[in-house]
Amino acid sequence: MRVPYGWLREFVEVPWDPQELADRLCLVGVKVEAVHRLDYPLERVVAGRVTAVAVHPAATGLRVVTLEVGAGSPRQVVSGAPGMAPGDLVAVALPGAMLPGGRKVEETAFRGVTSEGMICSATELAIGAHPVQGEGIVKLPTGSEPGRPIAELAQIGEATEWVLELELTVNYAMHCQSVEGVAREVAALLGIPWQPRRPQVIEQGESVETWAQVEITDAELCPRYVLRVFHDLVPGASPVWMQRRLHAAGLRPIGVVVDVTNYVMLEQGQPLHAFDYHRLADRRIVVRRARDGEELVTLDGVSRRLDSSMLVIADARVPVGLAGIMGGLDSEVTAATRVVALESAHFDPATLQRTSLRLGLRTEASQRFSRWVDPEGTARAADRAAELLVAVGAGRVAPGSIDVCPAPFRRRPVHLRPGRVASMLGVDLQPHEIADYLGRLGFQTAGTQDGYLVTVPSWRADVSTEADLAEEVARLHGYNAIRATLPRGVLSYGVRPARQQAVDRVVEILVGCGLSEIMTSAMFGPRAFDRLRLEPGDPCRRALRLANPLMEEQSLLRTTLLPGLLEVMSHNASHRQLDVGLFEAAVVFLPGRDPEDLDGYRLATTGGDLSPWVREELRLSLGMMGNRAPAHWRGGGRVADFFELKGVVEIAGERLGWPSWRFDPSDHPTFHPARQAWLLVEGEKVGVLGELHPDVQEAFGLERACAAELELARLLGRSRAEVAYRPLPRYPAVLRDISLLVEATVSADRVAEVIRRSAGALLDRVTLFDVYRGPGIPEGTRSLAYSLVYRACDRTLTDAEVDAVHLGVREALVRELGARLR
Amino acid sequence: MRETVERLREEALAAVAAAARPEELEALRVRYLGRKGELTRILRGLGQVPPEERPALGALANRAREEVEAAVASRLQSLREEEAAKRLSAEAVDVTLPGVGWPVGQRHIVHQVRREIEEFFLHLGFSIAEGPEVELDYFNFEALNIPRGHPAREAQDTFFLTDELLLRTHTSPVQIRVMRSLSPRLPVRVICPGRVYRRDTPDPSHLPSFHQIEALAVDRGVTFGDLRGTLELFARTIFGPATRVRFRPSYFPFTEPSAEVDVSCMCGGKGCGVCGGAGWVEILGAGMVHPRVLEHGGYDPEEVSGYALGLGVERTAMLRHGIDDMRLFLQNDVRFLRQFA
Repeated sequence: MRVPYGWLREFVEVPWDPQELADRLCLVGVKVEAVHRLDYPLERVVAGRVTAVAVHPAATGLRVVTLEVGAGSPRQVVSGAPGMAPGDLVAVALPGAMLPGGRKVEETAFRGVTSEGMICSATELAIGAHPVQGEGIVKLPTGSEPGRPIAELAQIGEATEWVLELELTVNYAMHCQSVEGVAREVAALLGIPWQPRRPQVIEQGESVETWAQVEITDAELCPRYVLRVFHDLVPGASPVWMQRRLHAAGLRPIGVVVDVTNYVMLEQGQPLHAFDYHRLADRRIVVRRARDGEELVTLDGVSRRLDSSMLVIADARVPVGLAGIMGGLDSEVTAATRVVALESAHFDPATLQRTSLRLGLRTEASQRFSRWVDPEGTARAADRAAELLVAVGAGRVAPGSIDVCPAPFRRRPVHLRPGRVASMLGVDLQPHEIADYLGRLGFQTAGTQDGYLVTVPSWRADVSTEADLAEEVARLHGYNAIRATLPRGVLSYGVRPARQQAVDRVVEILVGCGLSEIMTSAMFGPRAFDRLRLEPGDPCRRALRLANPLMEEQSLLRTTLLPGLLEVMSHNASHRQLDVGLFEAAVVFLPGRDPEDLDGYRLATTGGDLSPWVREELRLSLGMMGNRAPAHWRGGGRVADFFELKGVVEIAGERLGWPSWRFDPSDHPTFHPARQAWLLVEGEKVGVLGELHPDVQEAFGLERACAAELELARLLGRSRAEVAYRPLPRYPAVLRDISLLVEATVSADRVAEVIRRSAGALLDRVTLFDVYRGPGIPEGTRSLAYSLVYRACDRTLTDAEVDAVHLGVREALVRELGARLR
Repeated sequence: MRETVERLREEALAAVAAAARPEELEALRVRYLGRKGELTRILRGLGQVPPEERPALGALANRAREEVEAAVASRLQSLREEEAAKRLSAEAVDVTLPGVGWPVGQRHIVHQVRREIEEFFLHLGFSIAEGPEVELDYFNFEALNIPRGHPAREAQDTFFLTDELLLRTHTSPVQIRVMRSLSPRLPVRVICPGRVYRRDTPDPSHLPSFHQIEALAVDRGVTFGDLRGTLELFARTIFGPATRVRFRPSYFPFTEPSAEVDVSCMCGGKGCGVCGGAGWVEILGAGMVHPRVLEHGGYDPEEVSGYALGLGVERTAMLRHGIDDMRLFLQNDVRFLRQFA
């Protein structure tokens, strides 16, 4: 909604400049998004009458136009604008005129033809520079005398107009989508009584009843319909001042009749529609629901298929307009129209909103009707249109109006307790002050035993409760005048849920390992599964689908974090960020029971646990590529391979104290078949880690990279409070190394297990410090070297004691694993 | 004899001063002070000196001996120091060479800011509550006073799974869930952080998913002034102590009165790209909990009142750090992430 400042001042004396007005409106809730400035050219722009139009001899795209412009006529002007004909009245900028943007008009030659000025479009006159694009030449109304300055014709007093661009919330859109609506707010701010202006209509000819009949078949959808008839119309352009205002408010001037209806809509907020009277079968207007399958070609030339949920304006036979949204093409007002039927009606907002959404058709009218239009403003708006039509000399008005009102608007009074309002706001306001604020906004208050009975004005459908009235009081009092306090009462202690604390610990460990946290989209597409090489039957492929996705590649709720992670790695790789370690702790969505079989209301009233339908499972993804340590002049980067990634998982496991956990070879299709592992906790798989399968790497444009996805909820571990202190050792340790050769198929875990078991309680720690395969040892074997730390907690061990145990270890390795000791 | 002692003393001291290596000093020590050293010999030969001269000569020789001993020790000390200094200076490094880097991790900036906001409210006595991202239409809309056909549904373009199930468009449904689980206990002081979804095509100021934090306080006698106080403190904590706060009336179906809250722009009102010259930037929406919402939550609006506020975490991060494109948050370019280490 755009409100020209000058227009607003016709209704209320504004003591502030446009910027200050904008600020003050913002603070009462009428949000002003921007204040625009329009400059009008005043000097040396005059009305001109086209006397001849010829094609430019050297350029078929140009016209040579001969004009009568008073003194100095005729003048010859070269113009690129199409559609001009002798007799047209246009605005001509003569040499010396300054146009908006500081452009000066001068006498020039266009390919050999002299041009003594230029014919102005709306842009050049600054009556259409914004926001309507691509408009043509401005045509002046009949009777505009050639040579008369445009400033006079346009009744431009000041060279500059300011336009307030409003961004209205739903509730203000119900009563501020008009110049008067905003003026009413300004008056309330100033404490000036608001009185709507009464139009003076000059009527002529046969009474309206002899012209037409109106019938409403659905009072709920159309509680009121007012009709006036305009006859003896003089077609043509509307006056420049009117065009200027329409342009400033963002509408395109079309012709005098339509411009008048639009002008009234902008002024009062009541959309009007003019039908070509002679196109109405049987001179009848019938407001009814559309019949299923009925069709209507709307003004935009689109054929619309209607159904019985929609309201139409019909004549005796067929629909002639989509009620409150757009008229029909057949009954459109044209230059040939001599009589119009003017509609000023009130429609049910919800129905219009639905229809408008269903048809994807939003118009200035529908945007107002689908919010709220003052049901008591219909007659006044029709009168104002009649007044304007006569005033601009565009036709005559038939006496009277047809006013069908099957469901008169009923105001519902609201009970207000001033004490309660004041205490809820935290302000010290007396009852009479509250009543005064409300009175300024058009609410009537009547005293009752414990407060007021408040009558809400017909234009304020957004107000229906005591809380609504409290807001009205607060905003006029000034939100910022309310003293800031802090909640009082019982002290409370803020608690972070245990699960979040546990997740934070995991995150802390990962950050400590040098990984960067990422945040990825919760949606992906079916292609992600193929890129991960998942089998057709993989359970991961069962994902919840959005009914209205933005695009196919964002149509599923993720069931794995891997695609998001790999996308991020891919993005970084393609930007030459190759040394990267990442993680994300986030939920995946695992489907359960069929979500179509869900009774939302019943579920909500019985606790609202959605997990049988959708389980939101917390997962952890990890990813690494390139070098783990940043490149350095001393060299020696560590390649981010399987063991780098595993190391991070192990650090997490040790610090969080997962119960009996280990890694087993795995067969996940996304990973390198021989370099991946399940993570098992208490014997159950809780995740997978590994180097990526070459095909997956290729699909994401990655070089060697590794990744993991773990069920985070099962890896949160013990809380810090559960950690029990172990005393530091008091007796010295004895160190022994073992170096052995075993079959390469014997896992390191297995060797360590044999060492631990055979060494028994005296073994404090065993560390693998060397692994070797290759020349010098038999093929198919590998060499492992361990250092063992023996220690007793109650005495200093003797060599003999340790030797005995260590010998047992050596024997066990030979016996159980066929190891060759070295 | 006296002359001999004097000469030896001077000779020895000069030799010690001239010695360049510890071995030379050792040789000098042996030559003068050793068992067969020259000064030692004089002291041993005191027997041949007439008794009346003995004390004086003995004292003289002893002093000379001590002097030479001290000179040797001191010279040895300084020779060692010189040697050490030479050795260490040979170990010099170019201290301007870069140090060795470590892989350094960091939380995502959105989560950093989320946690900061959470900490603020935790300190005020608010607890954290969570709710599902896939939500019932009932909790996301109906119970928040947004029935079907309400224009506010249009404004929040929603991702639906079925007619009943959707991706929550705000964290407000957690309000209802929390009130229902706590009712009739008082006070209710919770924040609900989490991810929300809107059917918006990504552009510099929109993402189809982002994070919100909702705060809810319900008790007897909670006022609009309390909301103002909470938010003033909040703004100063998050945006700096000089921050001012401005409330503007606005509209949300689940609060009444409702407000949009602006903070003074970091440019100090001089005008910048962030505030567009207005000097104020919008940070959040807030208001007094609508009586119907209290009822849906199981509280009697005649008995209690409450305030609620909701803010966007990404937006807060953008304002505070001058980030001009929201898509950066989901792009996860490490050059971006590492700026907030």
